[in-house]
Amino acid sequence: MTQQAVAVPPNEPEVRSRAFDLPRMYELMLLIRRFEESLYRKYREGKIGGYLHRYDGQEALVAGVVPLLEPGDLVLSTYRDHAHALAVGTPPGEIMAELMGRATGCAGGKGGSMHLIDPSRGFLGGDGIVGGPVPVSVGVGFALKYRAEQRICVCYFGDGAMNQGGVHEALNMAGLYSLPILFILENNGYAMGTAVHRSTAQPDMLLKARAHGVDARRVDGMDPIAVLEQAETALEEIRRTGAPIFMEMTCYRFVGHGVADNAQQQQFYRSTEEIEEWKSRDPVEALKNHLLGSGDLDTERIEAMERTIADQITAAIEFAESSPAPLPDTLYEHVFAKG
Amino acid sequence: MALMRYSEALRMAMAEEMERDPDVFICGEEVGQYQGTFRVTEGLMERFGPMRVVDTPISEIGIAGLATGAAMAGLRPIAEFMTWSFALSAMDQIINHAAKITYMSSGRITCPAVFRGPAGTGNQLSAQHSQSLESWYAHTPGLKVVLPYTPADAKGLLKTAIRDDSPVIFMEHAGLYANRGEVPEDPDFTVPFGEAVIRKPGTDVTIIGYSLMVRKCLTAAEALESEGISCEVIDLRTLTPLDMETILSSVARTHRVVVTQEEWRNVGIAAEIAARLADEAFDELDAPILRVGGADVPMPYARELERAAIPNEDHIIEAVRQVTR
Amino acid sequence: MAEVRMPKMGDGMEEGTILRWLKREGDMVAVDESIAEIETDKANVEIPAEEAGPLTRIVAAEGETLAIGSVIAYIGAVPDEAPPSAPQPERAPATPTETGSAAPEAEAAPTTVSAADGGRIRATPLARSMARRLGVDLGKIRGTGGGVGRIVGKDVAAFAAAQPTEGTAKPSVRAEQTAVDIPLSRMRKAIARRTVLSKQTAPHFYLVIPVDMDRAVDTLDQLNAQAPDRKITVNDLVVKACAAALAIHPDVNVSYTEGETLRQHAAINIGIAVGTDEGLRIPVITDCADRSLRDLSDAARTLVGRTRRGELTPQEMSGATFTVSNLGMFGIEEFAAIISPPEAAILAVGAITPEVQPGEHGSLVVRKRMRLTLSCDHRAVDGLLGARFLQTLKGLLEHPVALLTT
Repeated sequence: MTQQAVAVPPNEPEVRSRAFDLPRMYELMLLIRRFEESLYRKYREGKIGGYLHRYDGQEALVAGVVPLLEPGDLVLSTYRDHAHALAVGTPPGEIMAELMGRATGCAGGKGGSMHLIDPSRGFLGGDGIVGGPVPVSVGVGFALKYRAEQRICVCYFGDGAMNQGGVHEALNMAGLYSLPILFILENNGYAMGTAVHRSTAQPDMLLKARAHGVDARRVDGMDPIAVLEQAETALEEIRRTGAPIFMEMTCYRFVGHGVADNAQQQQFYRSTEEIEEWKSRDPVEALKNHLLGSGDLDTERIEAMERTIADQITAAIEFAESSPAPLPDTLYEHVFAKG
Repeated sequence: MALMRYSEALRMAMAEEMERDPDVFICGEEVGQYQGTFRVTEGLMERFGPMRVVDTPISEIGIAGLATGAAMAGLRPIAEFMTWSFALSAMDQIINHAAKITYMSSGRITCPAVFRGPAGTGNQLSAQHSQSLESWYAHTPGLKVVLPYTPADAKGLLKTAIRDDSPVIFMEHAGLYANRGEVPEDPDFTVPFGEAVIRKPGTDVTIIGYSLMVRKCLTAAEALESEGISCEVIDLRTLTPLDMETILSSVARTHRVVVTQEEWRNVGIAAEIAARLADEAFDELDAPILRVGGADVPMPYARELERAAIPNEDHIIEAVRQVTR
Repeated sequence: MAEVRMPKMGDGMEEGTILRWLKREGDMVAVDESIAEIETDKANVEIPAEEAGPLTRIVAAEGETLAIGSVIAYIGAVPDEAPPSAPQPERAPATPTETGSAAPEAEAAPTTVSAADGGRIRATPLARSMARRLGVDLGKIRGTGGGVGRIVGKDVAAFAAAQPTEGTAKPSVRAEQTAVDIPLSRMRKAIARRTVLSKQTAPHFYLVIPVDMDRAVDTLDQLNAQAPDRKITVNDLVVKACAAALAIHPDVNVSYTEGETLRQHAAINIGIAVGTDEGLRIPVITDCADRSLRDLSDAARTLVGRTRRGELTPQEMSGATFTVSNLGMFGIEEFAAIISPPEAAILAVGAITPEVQPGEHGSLVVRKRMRLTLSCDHRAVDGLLGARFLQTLKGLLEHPVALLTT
C-alpha cells in the first residue's frame, strides 16, 4: 500500500548469483582496496572533506557476503562504508562524487563519506554513530519478517559497538522476535585506538550475542574463502529459519581509524611489528595467491583487472570532479519527506 | 460525532489507520497484552494480532530503532513510549537517525515513523517522570512535533501523523487522557499539521498555548474577561510545523502577546515564538512579549513545591495583566 | 556662575516649552531681566534672570519641552559637563527661501539632537510604527503604558485623533477623506491630562439641588441698578455663597492626599471656570472668606478680563480649593463638572429658568429655578456632607441678605 524509497534491487545475476565465484570476489576486493587508496589521495589533495575511514585489510568481510545477497535483501553499515556501497553495485563515480560533496553523489552531496546510501540497490546506508545501525537493523529485520518475504537484513558494526547499550537491546529484540538479520561484527581488534581487551571485561563476543539468544559464530576475516563459505551457509540458514545469526569476523585494519590516525598516532596503541604481521596475511594478496595457485587466475588477467579498476577509478574521479556542487537552494530540501 | 475520551480518540485513530493501511503497526512497552499503560491501545492486540501490536522489552533504544528501521524499510510504525521521560534513552535513534535519514540521503529514503506517548508534568511524579520536553524535539530539524489538546484533535492529528512520511513526535499530556469531547467518527477525518486554531477570540491580548496549557489559557481568559480584558487564545496544536500565520494575524489585532508552555521556561518554544514575533511583527508589538513557563528546576516531589513549579492560570493572568497595563 | 533652570510657574506644572529666547548667547543680562518666554500648561510667561552677567550658553532650543528644573541656560562660567549650545535661530526672522545665508557673526553652534527628557523616548514598536505612519512626533506624546509611562499604540491614536488641522499635519491613513488630525495645543493636553487624572483617581459622585432664585435675582437687580458699571452677576453671588458655605463646612474645603490624609485648607480660594476659544481656564479668587460680594465681584471681573485677553499668570491660576463652573448663561439647565484636582468638589451652576410650582391653597406659581450640581471626590467628601453643604448653599442663595452683609 505504501510506497517507500526502498525498491527491490535490480537483479544483477553476474554479481549476485550463487555462482558468485572467487575470481569475482577477488576483483571486488581489489576494487575496494584500490578505491580506498584513491580516496586517500583525493583526501590528501583536499578534494574530500570530513572524515575518511578506510576498509583496507577488511575487504573480505564485504566481498564475501554482500555479493551473495538476493534482490530485496538490505544492508546496513557503519561509517566505514565505502566497501559496502561498492559491493552492492553503487557506481564508483557516485561514491566518489558523494565524498567530494557533489550533487551527483549517491546521497546528493548531503551525506558524505559516512552516509553513503543506495536504497535502490538495497543499501540502507552507512551510519556515523558507533552501534547506531544495530537498533535500526531490528526495525529493518522486523519489516522483512512483517512482510514474510524471506529477505535478510545484513548489519555491519565494529567491536567498539559491542559495548554500546543499544546494541544489546537490539540483539535481545532480534533474538526475542526471531528476526532475519545477519549481524556481522567487524572485529578488527580496536575501537578507534582502544584494544578490545582494554574495553571489555568479556572479550568473547560470541558469548555476548548468545546471551541474547542469538546464534553466534566466528570466522577468520582474513581468510576470504572461509568468509564466503560461512556467509553462504549463514544466509541460507537465516532464509530458511528466519532467525538471526551473529558472525564475528576477525580482521585487521591496515590503516588508521581515520586519516588523522596516522602511523605516528597509531604508535600509541599498536606496534609496527603487529601491523606488519597482519599485513603479511593481507586477504587481497592471499586470495590472489590462492587463485594463481589454483589456476583460476593468471597474472595477465590480474593485470587486466588492475587496469580495468584503474580506469574505473579514473572515470569516477573525472565524473566527480566535473559534477556540480549541490545548488544553494537545495539547503532546505529534504529536511522533511516530500508529499 | 461521538462523545469520547482523549485516550479513546487516539485508539480510534490508530485502529482506523491500521484498518486502512496494513503497513501500520504499533510497538512499545505494555501496548499489547497489558492493554496499554494508559489503556490507549486497549483491545488492539486482540483485534490486530501480536505482529501488529508488538509488546517490547523495556528497551527504549531498541523500540526507537525498531520504529526507525521498520519505517526506513517501508512500514509505518507507531512506537509508544511509556512516557516521554523514558524516551530520553532513545535520543540517538530519534535525533541522529529518524530525524536525519531523509536529509542525509537527499530524500532517497524516508522514515514515516510516529513516536507517541504520554507527556507532561503533575501528580507528584517528581523529577524523572514529570516533565515536558517538546522543545528538545522542536529544536531538531526533520521532526514534526504534535501536541493535541482536544479529543477530536487527538484523533485527527494522530491520523495525519501516521500518514505523514516524516518522523512525528506525538505528545499526549497524561492530564488530558480522561478528557471527553465530541470526536468525528468519519474515518476520513484528519487534522492537518501546521494549522493552529483560535480556541477563543479576543481583542486585547493573544495568549498562545498548546496541549494542557490551552485549558489553563482558557480559564485565565475567562477570569480576565471579568476585568474587561478580552483575550484571544491560540492552540498551536503543532510546534513543527509552526503556524506563524495565525499567530501573526492575531497579534496584528491584539498587539500584545503572552506565550505559555508547560516546559521549563528557559530556551523553550515560547522563547522561539517571542523571537519570531520580534523578527516578524516588531512594529505590531505594543508591550513586551511575556512568557509563562515552568520553573527552571527539576520537578520537586512535595505538593506545595510542585504547585509552584508548574505554570498555572494565575501565572497567565498575571502576565496578561502586565502586558495590558 | 548661575544655571538657569526651567522654573515651576504654578500648580500642576511639570514641564515647560521654550517659546522664544529673548536674549542670545553673549548678551549681558541684568537681575530680573527677562531672558526667555516659556509656555506652560496654563500660560505663557517670561523667565527673569536671577543673576546679572553674560548669558554664556543656551542649552535648550526654542520649541524644546523640558521638565521643571532642567537647565536651559548658563549665566557666567559654564561647567565642563554642561551640554553644548542648542541651535539658535537667526534673531531677524529669515524668509524660508533664504537658506544657507548664515550670518557671518553667528558662532557655529554644534548641531545637537534634542530628545525629550534628555533621553530616548520610551515607546512600543507599535506606537513607533503608528507615529511614523501618522506623521506624529512621539516627543509630544505622554505615554501611559506598562506602568512606566511607555507610549503605547492607544496613546498615539488618541494624540493623532486630537491633532489640529495644519498644513503640515499629515492626516491619518484611515481618516484621510473624513477627518484631519489636529495636534493638541498645550492647554488642550493639560486639560486632557488633568481631567483624565481626575476621573481616574477621584471617584466622583453627584448631588443636584434646585434653588429658588427669585429673591436673589431681585436683590441683584437692585444692587446693579445702583451701580450699573460694576455689575454683580449671579455667578458672583454663587461664588460668595460658596465661600460662606465653605466657611460653614470646612470639611469640603479639603484635598485628599496620597499620604492618606485630608488636607484642610485654611484659605478659601475659589476657582471660576472661564471658557475661552483655546479652552477652559480657571483663574482663582483668593481668600474669598474675607471678601465682600462687591469685592469678589470686582476680583472676578478683573480675572475674567485678563483670562479673555490671555494675560493670566500662572499664579493667578494656582491654589484653588474649590471651583465654580457656570454654563447657565448658555441655557444649560444642569450639568455635572469634573473636579479639578486636588480639590474635593466642584459646583456646576445651571441656568435660571421659570418653573411652574404648586403654591399655597392649591394654586400654581411660577418661580425662578436654578439647579446646582455638586461633584464630590468620595475619598474626601461623603454624600451626607455634600448634601449638607448644598442645603447650606441653597439656604444662602434663597435668603441672600446674609451674603450682602458680610
